[in-house]
Amino acid sequence: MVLRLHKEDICVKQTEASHVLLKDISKTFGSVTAIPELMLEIKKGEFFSLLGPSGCGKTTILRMIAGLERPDNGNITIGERIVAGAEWVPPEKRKIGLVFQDYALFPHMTVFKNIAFGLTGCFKNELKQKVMEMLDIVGLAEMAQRYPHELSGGQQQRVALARALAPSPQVMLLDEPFSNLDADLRMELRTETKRILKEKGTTTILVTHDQEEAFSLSDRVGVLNNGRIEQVAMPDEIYHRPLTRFVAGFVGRADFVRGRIEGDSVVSGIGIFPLTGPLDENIRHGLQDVDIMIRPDDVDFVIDPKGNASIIEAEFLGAEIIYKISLPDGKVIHSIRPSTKIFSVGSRISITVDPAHIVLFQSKE
Amino acid sequence: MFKKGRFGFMVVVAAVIGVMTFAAAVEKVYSQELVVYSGRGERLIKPVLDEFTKKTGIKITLHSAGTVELLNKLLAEGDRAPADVYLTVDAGTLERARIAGLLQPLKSEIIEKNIPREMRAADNSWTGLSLRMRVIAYNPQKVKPDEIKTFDSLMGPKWKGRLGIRTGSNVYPQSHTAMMIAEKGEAETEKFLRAITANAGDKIYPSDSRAVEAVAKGEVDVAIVNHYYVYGHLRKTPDDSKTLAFVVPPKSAYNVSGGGILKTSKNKEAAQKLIEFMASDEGQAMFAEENREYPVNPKISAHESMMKRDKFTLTTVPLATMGRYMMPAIDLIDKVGYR
Amino acid sequence: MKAKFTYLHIFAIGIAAVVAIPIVFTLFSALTVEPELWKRLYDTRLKVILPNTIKLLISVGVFTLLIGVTTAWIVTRYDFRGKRIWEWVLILPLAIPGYVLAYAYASIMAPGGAAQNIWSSVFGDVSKMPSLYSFWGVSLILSLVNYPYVYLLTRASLLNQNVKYHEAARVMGVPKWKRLWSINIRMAYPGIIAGLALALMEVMADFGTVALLRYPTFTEAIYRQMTARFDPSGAAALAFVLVTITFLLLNLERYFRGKRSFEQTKSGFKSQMPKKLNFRRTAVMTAVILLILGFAFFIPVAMLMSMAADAITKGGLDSRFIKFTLNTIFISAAGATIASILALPVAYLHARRPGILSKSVYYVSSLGYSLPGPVIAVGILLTVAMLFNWLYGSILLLLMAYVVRFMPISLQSQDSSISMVSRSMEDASRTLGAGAWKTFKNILLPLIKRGILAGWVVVFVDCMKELPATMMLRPLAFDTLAVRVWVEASESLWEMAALPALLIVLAGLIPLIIIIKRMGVQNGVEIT
Repeated sequence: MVLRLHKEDICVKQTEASHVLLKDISKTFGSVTAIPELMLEIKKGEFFSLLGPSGCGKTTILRMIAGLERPDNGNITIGERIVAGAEWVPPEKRKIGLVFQDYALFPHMTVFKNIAFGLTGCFKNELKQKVMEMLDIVGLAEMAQRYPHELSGGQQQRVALARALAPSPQVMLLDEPFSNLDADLRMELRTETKRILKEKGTTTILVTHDQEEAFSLSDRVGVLNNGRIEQVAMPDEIYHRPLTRFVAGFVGRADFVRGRIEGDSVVSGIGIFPLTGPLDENIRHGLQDVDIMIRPDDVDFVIDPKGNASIIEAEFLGAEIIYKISLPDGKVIHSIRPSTKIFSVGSRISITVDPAHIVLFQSKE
Repeated sequence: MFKKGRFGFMVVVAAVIGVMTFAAAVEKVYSQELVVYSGRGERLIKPVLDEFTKKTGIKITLHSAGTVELLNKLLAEGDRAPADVYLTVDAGTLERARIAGLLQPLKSEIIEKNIPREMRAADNSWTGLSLRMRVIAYNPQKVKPDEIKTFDSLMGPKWKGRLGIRTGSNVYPQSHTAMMIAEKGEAETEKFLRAITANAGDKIYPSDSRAVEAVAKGEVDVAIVNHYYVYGHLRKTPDDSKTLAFVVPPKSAYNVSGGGILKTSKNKEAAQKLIEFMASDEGQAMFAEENREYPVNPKISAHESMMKRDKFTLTTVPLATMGRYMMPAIDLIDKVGYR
Repeated sequence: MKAKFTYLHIFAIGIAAVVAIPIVFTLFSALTVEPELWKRLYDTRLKVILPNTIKLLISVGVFTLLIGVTTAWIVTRYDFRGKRIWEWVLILPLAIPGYVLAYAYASIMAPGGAAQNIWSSVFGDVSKMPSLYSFWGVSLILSLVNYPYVYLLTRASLLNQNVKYHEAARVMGVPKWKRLWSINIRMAYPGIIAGLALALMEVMADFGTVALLRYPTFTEAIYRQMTARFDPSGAAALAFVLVTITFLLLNLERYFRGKRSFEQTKSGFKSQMPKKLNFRRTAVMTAVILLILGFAFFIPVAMLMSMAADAITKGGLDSRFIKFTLNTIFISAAGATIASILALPVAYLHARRPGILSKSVYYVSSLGYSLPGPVIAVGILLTVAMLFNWLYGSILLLLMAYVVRFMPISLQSQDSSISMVSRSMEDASRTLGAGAWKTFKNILLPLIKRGILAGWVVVFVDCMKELPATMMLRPLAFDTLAVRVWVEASESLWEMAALPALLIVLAGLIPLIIIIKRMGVQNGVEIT
C-alpha cells in the first residue's frame, strides 16, 4: 500500500551522473503558458521517456533541449555545458540527434546523402565507411541509393534513426518516432531502436503519449501534465505507485473507491485493508476519508450467489476479459481476468482486492 | 464580376466580330481603277499619281508599305493579288519579283527610248525610274575627301568608331552588297562587310537620314548613305554644310527606284500607261526632282542644286545583274552578323 | 466511368486541330527541306544564332536566378519595414514587355541622352560607355523583365517550405551556409526551376528585344527569313530547330530531377519564421530591392512617362494614335473572346470527362504556349499558303495566331476553376431534372465566370503586347500599339514610341493585380 495523502515535492538535484539538466525552465507562447516551471534531470546513458497527453508540453521540452526553442527562463545544461539560459548554444553546436515524428527525411536526397548530411568535416572514405556502418546497424545497407519516397514507413524510420545517430550525438531525442507505424512494426522497431541505442550507450529522451511504449523502452519515465512534471520514476513505480490521480489515470485503467481510515485499517466497500507504511500527521488528526485506487488486474472475484457485487458487462479482448462490476453502493469498478475462464454477465460475485498495490489518495470531498 | 446576361452579350459580340472580320477578308477591290503597291514614300509618289489621274482620268488606289513587305505580300497572294503595278525603291527587289514570275514583260517604245538599258530588265518587265548613288557622307572638319576615295578605304582600322552604316535589314545596303558581289566576288565582299561592321560597332542607324544626321552632328565622321539624304538634310538645315558633305566614289554603286506591271493585273493597258507616264520627260522630272534624285533618262536634267551628271561615273554592272545577287547578298549579311 | 463520345468531343477535337494544323505544317515543311537549304541555313544563320541563343539562355538564366532568388529570399526570410509593399512591387517588371524596356533604355542611352550626359560628367569619354547594342545589353534587359518569374515561384516555394527540414539539419550540426544551400535552396528547387524555365521560355520566344538591339537569335532569324526572303521552308526549318531546343530544355529539368522527390511532409506544417531586421540591415535590404526595381521598373517607366508627356504636349494624342489604340483594343478583345469561347469545351471535357481523348485534346490545345510567336506565324502562313490562300492578308490569320498562342491561358484558368466546383453540384442539378446543357448554363457557367473572365483579361493583355506574330500576319497598314512601339523605336524616333509603350505597360499592370490578389490569399501562386 502506498499513501499519497500529502503533496510530495519532486526534488531534482544535479548529481554526478546527470547528463541533461533543466532547471527552472519556463516557456510561454504569446499568452499561453506552455511550461510554467520545470525541473528535470536525465542521467548519462539513460533511456528516459516524457509521457503525457497531446498538448502537455512534452514536444516543447524536447525542442528546448534541441535548441529549436529558447526557454523564457531557467538553464538547460547538457554535460558540463550550459546550452540555454546563462549562455546560448545554437542547435547545430549541441551534438544532439533528433528523430522527428514524420522523420523529416530530405526528399531530394538519397538515403546515403541523408545520412551523410550531418557528417561534416569527414574525408570521403571515412564518410562512406561511416554511412555504411550506420546503414548496417539499421539493416538497410542495400537501400543506400534509394530516395526516401521509395521506402516503406518502417524503413524510413530506420533511416531517420541512422541519420540522427551518424554524427554520434551525446543525446538522442525521439519525438513520437513510432506513432506513424502499424502495430506489429511498431513493436519490432521499438525493441530494435532500444537495442541500437543501448549498444551505443547514448542518452536518449523519448517523447510519447503511449504509456506502453514509454514503459517498454524506458529506464525512467516522466509523466507530464499541463507543462508540469507529475512524477519521475521507473515504469513499474509509475504504474503501481502513482504520485497523483492524473498519473494513476493516465498510465493505465484505475478505479477509485471511497474508503475510511479507522484506526490501523482502511475500511471500504471492497474490503478492509491494514494500513502499512508511515502515517502522516494529517491522518492522525481527523482526516479519515480517503479514495482508494485500484488497478483492474488487482481485482479478483469468485462466483458467489450471496455476493454483494455483480457483473454488468464483459468485454472480450482475446487473452483477457475486462469485467465491469457493480458494487452495492452503485460504484463501478473493473477487473481483468484471463479469458481461459469466462463468467457470464449478471452473475453475482464476491470480490477480493490485492492490498499490495492499492494507493490511497486524499478524498476529494 | 459581371452581371447576369453579360456573358450572353459577350458571345453575341464575339459572333459579330467574327462575321465582320470574315467579311473584311472576303471583301476585295475589283474595280476598273488601278491598284498600285508602292514601296516609295507616299509623299513622293502621290503627286505623280495625281497628275496621271488628272491627265488620263484613270483612278488609282495606292497601297503604301515597305518595298520587301509588298513583295512578300505579292508572293503570298499569288494569283489573287489585286495589284496592277508594283513600285519599289530598289532594283534588286524588282529583279527578285521578275525571277519569281510576278512581273509582266513589256513592249514599249517610250521606255526603250528613254531608259538606259542597264537600268531596266532585259524584257522590260521592270523599269528604273529614278537614279540614286550610294555615297560616302563625311564631316569636312574632320575628314579630308582624299581619305575616302573609295568604299574600300573605309575598311581601315582608323575608322573604328568613326563610321556609321545603315542596318543590314534594309534593301539599300543589301543592293549595295549585291553590287559588290557582282563586281568582285563573295569573298572580297565578305571581307568588306566584316571590316565595316567592325568599324561601325554600334553606330548602326535605322535609316539613311539618321546616319546623315549623325555625321552632321559629329557623332560619326563618315557614313555610307544614298546621296539624296545629304541634300535633304542640307535643305532642312543649311547651316550644317560646314559639317556635312559627300563624295561619290568613282564607278559608284547605284540603284534605282522603279516599277513594273504585275501578271495578275486585270487592266494592263492602263498600267502600261502609268509606267510610260513616269518614264516620259514630264514624269521623269516630277518623279526625281522633289527627292533630289537623278532622272534615269540622262537627257532630263537634274535639279540645279545637285551635282552635275558628268562629275561622277557609275559602275558598269547592270542593275539586272545586281538583282541576281540579292539573295546571296542577304545570306552574306546574315552570315557576318551585320544587323 | 468510361467517357461517352459526344458532339462536344468532336467540337473539342476541331479546336485542337486548329492548334495542331499549323504545327504539323511547320514540322512537315521542316522535315522535307532540301539538304542544300539546311547547309545554307547552317552556314549563314545557324552558325550565328545557335551560339547566340545558347549564350543568351545561359547569361539570362544566371542573372534571373541571381536576382529572382535573392529577392525571394529577402522577402521570405526577413521581416522589415516596407517588406509587405516590396513583396508585390517586385513583380511589376512583368508588366513591361522586353521590347519596351529595350526601347526605354535605348532612348536613355541614345547619343545626347541622359546616360551619355551622366557618363561624360563622371568618366569623360563617352565613346568608352558600354553599348546597349551588345550581348550584355540584351542579357540585362531580358533578365530585368523576366526575373519576376523566378522571384514569384521561388518565393512560393520558400514560403511553402516546412521548417522541420531546416530544424532536422540544424540539430544534426550542419553549419549555416550548408543548411541554406542544401535545404532551403535545394528544396525550393522545383519552384526555382519552374520559374527559370518560364523565364528561359520567354527568352527563346522574345523577338522585340533582340531585334531592336540587333542581337540575332532564332526568332529574329525566322522573322527575317520570312520578311527579307519570303522563304517559308527556311523559316520552318529554323522554327523546327528552335522548338526542338525548347522541348529539350523543358525535358532537361525532368532529366536532372531524376527519381528525386520534393514532396514535403504535410503534417504539422510550419514555415520558417522570418528574421526581424534592425534599422541598418533594413536599409541594406531596401537598397538592394530598390536598385533592382529602379533599373527594372522605376527608371524606364519614369522615362516613358516624361517622353509621353512631351509627346502629348506636342499633339501626340492625335487621330492616328487613337486609331492604333482602337485597332489594338479591337484585335485583342476579339482574340481574347475567341480564345475564351474555344477553350471552354476543351477545358470542360478535361475537367469533367477525364480520358485519354480529352487529355490529349487538352494537351494539344495547350501546345501553343511554348511556341514563340514567329513560329506560330510561320505555321499559319504555311497552312494558309497550302490550304486557304484566299485568307492571306486577312485579320483572321492574326486572330488565329493569338488563339493558338494564348488559348492555353484561358484553358488553364477555366480548367482550374471548373475543377474547383464540386461535381456533386452538377450531379444534384441533373437529379433534379435539368439536362446537360441547362446544368452547364445555370450551374457551372455562373460558378466559373470569374475564372473565364480572369483568363480573358490575361489573354487580352498578352494579345496587346504580342509583337512578332502581329508584325508577320497583320493586314497591310493595320498597326497595333506594339507594332508602333517597335517601328518608331527601330527608327530611333524615341518620343513617337512613348505613348503606345506607356499604354502597353499600363495594360500590363492589370493581370498583375490578379496575381497580387492571389498572392495575398495564398502563398503559392500559379502563373498562367
